Amino acid sequence: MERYSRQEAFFGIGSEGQKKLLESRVCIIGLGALGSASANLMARAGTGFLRLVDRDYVELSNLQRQMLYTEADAAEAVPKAAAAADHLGRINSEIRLEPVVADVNSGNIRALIEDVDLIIDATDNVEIRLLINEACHALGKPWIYGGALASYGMTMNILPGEDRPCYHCMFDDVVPDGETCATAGVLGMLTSIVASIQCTEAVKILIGSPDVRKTLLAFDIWNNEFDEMEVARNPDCPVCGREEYRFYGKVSGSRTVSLCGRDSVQIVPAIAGAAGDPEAAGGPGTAGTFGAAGDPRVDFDQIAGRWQACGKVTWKRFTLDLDIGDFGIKLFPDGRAIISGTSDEGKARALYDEYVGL
Amino acid sequence: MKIKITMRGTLKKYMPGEEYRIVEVPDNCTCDEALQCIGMNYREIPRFGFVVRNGKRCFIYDRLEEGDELKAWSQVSGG
Repeated sequence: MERYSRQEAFFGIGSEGQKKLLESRVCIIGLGALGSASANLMARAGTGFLRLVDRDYVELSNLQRQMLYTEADAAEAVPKAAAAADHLGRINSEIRLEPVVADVNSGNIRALIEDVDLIIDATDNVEIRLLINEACHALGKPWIYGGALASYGMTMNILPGEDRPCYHCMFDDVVPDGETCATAGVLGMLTSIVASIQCTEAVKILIGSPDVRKTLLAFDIWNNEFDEMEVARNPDCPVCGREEYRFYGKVSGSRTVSLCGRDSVQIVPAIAGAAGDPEAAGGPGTAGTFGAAGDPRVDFDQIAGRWQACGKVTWKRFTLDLDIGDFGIKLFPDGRAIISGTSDEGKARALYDEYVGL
Repeated sequence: MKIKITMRGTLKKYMPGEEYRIVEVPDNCTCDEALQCIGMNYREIPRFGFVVRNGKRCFIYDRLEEGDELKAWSQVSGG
């Protein structure tokens, strides 16, 4: 195939490897700096099916490092999943792209990953990685952890198997996140490197290469420090040792999360949390959560009518926005909302209840 | 006994300007006790990740030997 001729010429892949890649299904969770770079690489490499999952929309501060997006995406506040699929579709129209605008949680993760061969982590906090780790362990799926902060990068392949460590095995005590990219900054060059390593490993895993890395790789590109570390499985690990899941399989109710460094709070109503559950919602393809332009779960017409008297209402391609002076509400089709202008979860919840009321 | 302690990631701020430090620690001490010798209590550091002994991830309560290299890593959770 002409499109992939340079990749097929590489001894580690060849035409057989390329064929396997074209038959592969991958889910990328998070489409920020790591995820947009990974999506770009995996789409160009010819991954047959890519599910692109993100809860957020494009902002101007993303463009320094989130390679897929444009100023027009930021001006329109297009959801990242929709923008990514839009751009990637023009890069490789021969693969299947499935954008999913959703908050990944215990209620929908199974539906998001159970029909794929591999998951690429491009998230931005420990809690979601713990959920991915538990879900992948339960379902026997390989996933690739990747993290980036300031000039520090880290990545490890988490492979199924009784002798293999899981993500939780890396830690003695898993403590809440400290610094984030919003507070400590991050280099765009770093995220490209981490994503490139993740995608190289992804291709190796998908085509069955014997060269899959089994170590934890970490580096500081500003100070030129590179470490490769062995991680042994912890026999007392709550996840791979005892199969005690803290997040996976738990009921996902309404959640309120302050978005660090953003002066914004995300509200996920219970209906959005359960939207992706295969038993509750009929599996992948369910409108609202699956497919960025899926049928709305909330009635935008009805809510827009109600909002007209409250402030400036803007109906964008995928969201309904309300500007009420000091605060803003960006409502997604599944009922999820991002309240801007406050980091106070109680205040945000009150605004959601008052204006959205789901 | 003497060991070498190195900070990685955002933990570097606990050893500013030093690539590593050779530290005298009690014989047979744990990683936790060794870090406390340089004034670091991992329980109080919200972004503390894990420790690595001679290139292998180990537990904070694992014991060290003369000449060991102990690296402490922060979590790297952004994306």
